[in-house]
Amino acid sequence: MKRFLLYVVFIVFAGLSLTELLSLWHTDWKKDRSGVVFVRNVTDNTATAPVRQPVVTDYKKMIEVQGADH
Amino acid sequence: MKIRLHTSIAFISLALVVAAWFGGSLRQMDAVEARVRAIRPDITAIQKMEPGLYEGRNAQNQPLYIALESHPGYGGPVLMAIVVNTEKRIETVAIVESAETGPYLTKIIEAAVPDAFLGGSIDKLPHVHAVSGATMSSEAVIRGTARAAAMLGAQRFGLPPAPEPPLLGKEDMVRLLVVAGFFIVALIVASKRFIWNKNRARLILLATSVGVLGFWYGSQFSLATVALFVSGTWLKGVASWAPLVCLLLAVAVLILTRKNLYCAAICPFGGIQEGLSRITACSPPIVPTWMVWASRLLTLAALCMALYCRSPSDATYEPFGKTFNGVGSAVLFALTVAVLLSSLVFKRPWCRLLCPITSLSDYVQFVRNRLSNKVAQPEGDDPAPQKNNGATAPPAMNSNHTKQE
Repeated sequence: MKRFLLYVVFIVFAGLSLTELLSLWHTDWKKDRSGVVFVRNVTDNTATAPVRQPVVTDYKKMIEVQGADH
Repeated sequence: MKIRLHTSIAFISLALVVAAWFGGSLRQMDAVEARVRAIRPDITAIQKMEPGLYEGRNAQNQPLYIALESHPGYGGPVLMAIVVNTEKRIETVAIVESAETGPYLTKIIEAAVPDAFLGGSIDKLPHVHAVSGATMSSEAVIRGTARAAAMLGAQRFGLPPAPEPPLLGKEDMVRLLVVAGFFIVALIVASKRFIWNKNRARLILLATSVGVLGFWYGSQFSLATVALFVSGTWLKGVASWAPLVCLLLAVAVLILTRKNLYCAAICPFGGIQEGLSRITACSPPIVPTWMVWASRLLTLAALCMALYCRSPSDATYEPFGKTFNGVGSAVLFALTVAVLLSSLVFKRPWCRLLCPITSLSDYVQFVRNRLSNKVAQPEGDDPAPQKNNGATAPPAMNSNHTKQE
């Protein structure tokens, strides 16, 4: 019984870890290396124009770092 | 025979890490040039003048200067860029590269932190406040911009260079001393001259570490810290030196004393698992060999990917951040819950099954023993059982895991 539980626990741990890693790697691998995260020019009319979207990188999917002391 | 096989695997692993590091360097060099052009597509004839400094022409054939500088955020360096005209006015502010958490970056942009510098002169930058709830990330954006302005001012306009900020803040200095204090106490407890109950002292130290290093300081190191160190990113500065120093002390103690005192007596996440295990008085799991090697393979893959992408956070699959600070994805939240629940069934399940620090300490100990030729006995399929979490010196690669069947 304990061996069965061990296998279940290991599969759960490994599955979740792999899922997290693959999502991080997928984001970074697809990241356009020629883009920038955010740009704002002095000529941008921020009063009426929407917030400029990032050129390429989807920064909302960027990796969440641990222990942020914000 | 097995020793030779393990030695070969150790060499191949090291070669893969080095190859990933080199690949990452090449990848990064290509990216910077392309990104400079992407900051302002209307700028033509861009030429590199100095490292981090470029000159180009706008549509009216007037010179423009592009300066890039980075400042450490929490996840790593944030690379900022400014475009300045001949009147020293900032025309463009750009976040070129960042490993900060997405929601924090959004907060900074919505608070118009980069906008505050637009139109201003590089020798009279405004004092921009950090965004509450995103302090370290916004400080990285603000100081990165200021450093770019100072560098450009000194190189192109003859302005006096800005003074370098101190390497260590007071708060970080206190954290470093606390981290060092934990290792000193652990060494005292582990020494032969400690006459009191060692296990009780170890548990007290672990409990204290959970509160101080875990919940209060968040100074636990992880595989991301290892990637940060190996990639050399820390040379550009880090937001907090405590996890890095914690890593170096753990490795130093491991090499010098052959005891994994960090895992046994200091690791906050190990402490939480051990505390939960004591509720049900459960025993550590008996880990088959293939699980040990699967864990090592995962560690190697994560480390290589982090080095290649030059993103230490690409190696983050441990649930430390979610446990102590609530920072992390839904997957990490699920993993945290799984670890905490399974700690009621097995003693220290994460440490025994999948913790990358366990794999790393196995590697360090194996290399150390190999270099000092202490591996005298040939290995069998069933290595000798070890005490909890490497409190004793392990003989070979299968060191921090309990006996096999």
